Amino acid sequence: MRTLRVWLTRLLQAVGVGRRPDDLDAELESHIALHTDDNLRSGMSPEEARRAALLAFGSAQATREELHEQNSAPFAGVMSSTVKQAYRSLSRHPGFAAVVVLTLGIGVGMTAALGGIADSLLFRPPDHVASPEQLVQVSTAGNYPQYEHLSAHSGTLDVTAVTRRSLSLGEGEEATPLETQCVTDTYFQVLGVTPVAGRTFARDEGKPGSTRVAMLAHHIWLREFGGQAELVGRNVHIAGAPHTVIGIAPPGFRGLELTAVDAWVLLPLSPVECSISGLNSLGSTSGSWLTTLGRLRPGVALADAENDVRSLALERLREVTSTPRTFVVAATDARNAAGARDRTLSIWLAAGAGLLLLIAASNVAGLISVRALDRRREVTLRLQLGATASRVFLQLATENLMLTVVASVAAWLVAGWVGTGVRVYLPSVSYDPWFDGRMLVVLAVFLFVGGILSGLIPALQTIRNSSSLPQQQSGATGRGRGLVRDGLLAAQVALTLVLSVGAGLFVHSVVRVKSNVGYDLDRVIAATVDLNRAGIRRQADKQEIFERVLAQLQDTPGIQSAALSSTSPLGTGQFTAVTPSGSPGLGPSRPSMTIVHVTPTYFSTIGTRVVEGREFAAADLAERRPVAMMSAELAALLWPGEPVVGKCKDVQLGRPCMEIVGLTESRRIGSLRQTSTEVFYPLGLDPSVVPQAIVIRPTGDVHTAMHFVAGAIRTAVPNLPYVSVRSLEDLANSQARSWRLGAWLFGVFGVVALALSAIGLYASLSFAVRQRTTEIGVRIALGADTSRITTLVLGQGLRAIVAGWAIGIVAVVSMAGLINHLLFSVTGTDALALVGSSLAVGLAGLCGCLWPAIRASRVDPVTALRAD
Amino acid sequence: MGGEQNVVQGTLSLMILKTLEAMGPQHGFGIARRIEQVGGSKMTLNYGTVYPMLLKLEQEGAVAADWGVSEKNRRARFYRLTAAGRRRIVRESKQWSDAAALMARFLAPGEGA
Repeated sequence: MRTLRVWLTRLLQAVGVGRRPDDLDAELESHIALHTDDNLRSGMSPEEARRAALLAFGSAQATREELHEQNSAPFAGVMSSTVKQAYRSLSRHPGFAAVVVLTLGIGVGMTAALGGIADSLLFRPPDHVASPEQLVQVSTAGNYPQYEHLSAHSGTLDVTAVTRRSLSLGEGEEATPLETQCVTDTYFQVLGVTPVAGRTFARDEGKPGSTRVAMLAHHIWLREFGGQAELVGRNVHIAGAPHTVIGIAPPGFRGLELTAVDAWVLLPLSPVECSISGLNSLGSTSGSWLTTLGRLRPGVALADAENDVRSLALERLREVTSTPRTFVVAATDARNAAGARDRTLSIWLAAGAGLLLLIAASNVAGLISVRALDRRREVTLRLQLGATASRVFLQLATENLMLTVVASVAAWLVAGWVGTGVRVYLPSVSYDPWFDGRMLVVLAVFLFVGGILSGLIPALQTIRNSSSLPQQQSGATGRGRGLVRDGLLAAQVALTLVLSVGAGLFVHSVVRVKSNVGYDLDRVIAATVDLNRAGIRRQADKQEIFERVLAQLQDTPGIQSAALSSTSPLGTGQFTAVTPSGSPGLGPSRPSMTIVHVTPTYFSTIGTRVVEGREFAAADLAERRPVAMMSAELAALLWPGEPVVGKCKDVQLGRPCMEIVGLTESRRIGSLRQTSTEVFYPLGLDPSVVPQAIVIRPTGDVHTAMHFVAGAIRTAVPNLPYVSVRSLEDLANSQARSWRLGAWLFGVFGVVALALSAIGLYASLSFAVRQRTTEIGVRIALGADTSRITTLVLGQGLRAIVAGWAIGIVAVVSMAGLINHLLFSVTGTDALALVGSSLAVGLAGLCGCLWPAIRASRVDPVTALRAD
Repeated sequence: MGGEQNVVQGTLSLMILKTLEAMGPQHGFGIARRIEQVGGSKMTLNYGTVYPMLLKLEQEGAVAADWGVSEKNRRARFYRLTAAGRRRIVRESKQWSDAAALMARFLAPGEGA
């Protein structure tokens, strides 16, 4: 009770309530004055009186200090002196402090950032969607008639259909791209979304002929319209047609997509704009271009929905019972699969960062141990001068705490920067690295627990070892601990090797990405125009315009050749998947083919080599001959061992045979990961197919050519809102984005890991050398060659390096299979990466061992023997 | 000089309290001088040591203090006992006499193991 009152009073004084320090001093002064007066009355002279008073008082300084300490907050004096001492001690070894802070900061910071990103990609549910676990994706309803059938007859699901298109907002030259989802009227009900303004689509609002309506995304509302409240009810131009805005979606809502959606329109009201082919495909019963989502009705299980959908599909499809696929999958699983590559990459990155963290932590522990050993003498001295063990421990712990606090700040900065940088490459990540609460908590826990623990143990050891008189510390006594230390070192080296191999693989991948694609990336320009936006809807008009543009381009000086294609090269659009005939021999893994319609000279323009036979010729089109070309790879798959060129082959199910006039090399399509199973037909044979892209091969430099290409196109078609002209290299770069991110980050990991391992080896060997200083001194005194000493120490280091390398190689080889699908034409056991990393690790290790080895050889036997 | 003893913390607090009980409100110098007088040749006291003790007693609530003026018109801080202080005197005095009586039994000639 008494103690409590004392503490309370002292604490209050600390905040300013109570006696002030000058009040205390005044009291002491008054004491001296009173005593001096007394002495004067006894007859002493003034100087004698004061001197006697001071003498009787005792040690003024000690009393003052004790008094002030008693008046201030409990332990305040101890704490402030401890902190000051800790700061002084650390600033005497700024290199050590800097290395520890950097090591922990980078290790923990990177792990936190990448862990947070991986977590947000993996676990974050779609914003503003009610009960997403009740949503499913149905794969039997890929086109509109199938969707309507399902919608009308399903007893288990409320369904909606979605497809994503890149439309435009605004008119004419100022039009901007608008990422739009074309949806059916039930979309917002099925997802369970409430708009922040206005309303959602009403049932049957999509009857053909009704006024076009649209829902805008929150960020578009802010960005384009300044967030004005009266926007609801007004008209905006989407894809060149006026739409009435009926509502604004909640911020961050993007359906189940991973990247942002700008607007929603009704599919039945904009059938041409929403289709891939530029045709009204609402009535088409073939093809698969819609994603159908459904919400399980109350009380319905996934299995019930599966049965329901299956039996409904049976009414239409013939082959359903032969395939064991499920038709109804949880939508989150489908979403996960869609973002699979980004997700997988971020998991690997997080794992890499975790490895880095392990290396960093063990490094820091090692560094602190070395330093603790260095300070043994200092600590011993202190203890023998009368400091209590707890006081010394407190001081060591405070030093550690200060390091940890600074390292926390460093880690927070690193996490912020890394997180921000990664978001540039993975824009689907909605993760705020600076204030992510969970990450900050993890940071705090990890640093304080890990940092303090890694400092406490050496501190305790130091005190225990120092409190008695200096003992013999021969190398042999540390045998057991030495094994642990060596084991840790080997583990560090193994982890570094793994990270370096990862870096090597990704870098090699990136280099290979741009070779081997099957296009002349640096010599070709791709231009796409969306004629719908210029208000041109009719097939015949579109065809005529493209031909006009092609003619204009071919006439322009500076352009070597130009051609048209029905698909954009390296575009991310959906492809019509068709099953080739001749399938029985291929089994369940038959490829689906992509149909591309091209004009003559297409292949020579875009740089895809024709390995056998010839390109299409104008004569093929004029005579309307049923000809086709395909990749040699596909031909070998369909008709292994048979000669194909010049023969009439069954290419497509249900179609008459076609003459294969030529075979091409394989090339990458879509996302750079799929190799082509493409079949080519001459453009113009099938009137329903409209060109989408123009490929141009300029004679000179691609970048200067891009300007006059755009100009030439505008000359041919005057009122296009905008024309997308990009070099193929540009397109490839944006596809290669993830690899470049992986390469960059793993490269950083690799370099940092190498540096950390070198430091770790250095620290550990220094520790060992210091421990064995006596032994080394004896050896030298007995005449051992300095080079033998060096070899001895180096040998210890090399043992750890070799052991670590062996473990690392085993780990890498066994995990190689897991990483293959993230790499580009490089396997997990790529020889170049393995050899390169092994060399790098060996070199870094040697660097770390060198200095301690040299120091060992320079040990002065006299000093060494005297030291202990 | 024989018989000197260092004054221990625990006893000093009781000495201060008893002094205040006997003298009434007093400043630190007066308390220290009186303690030295009462202790006589059996103790030496560095006068300064009473001040940390006085501060602690004040924080514990056994004494209260205010600035005042001495007989010779010097400004000084005067201490006085509180009710809690008086209760503490009673309690601690009893503890001392009990302890002394107990030891006396062992120290008496012919007694003890």
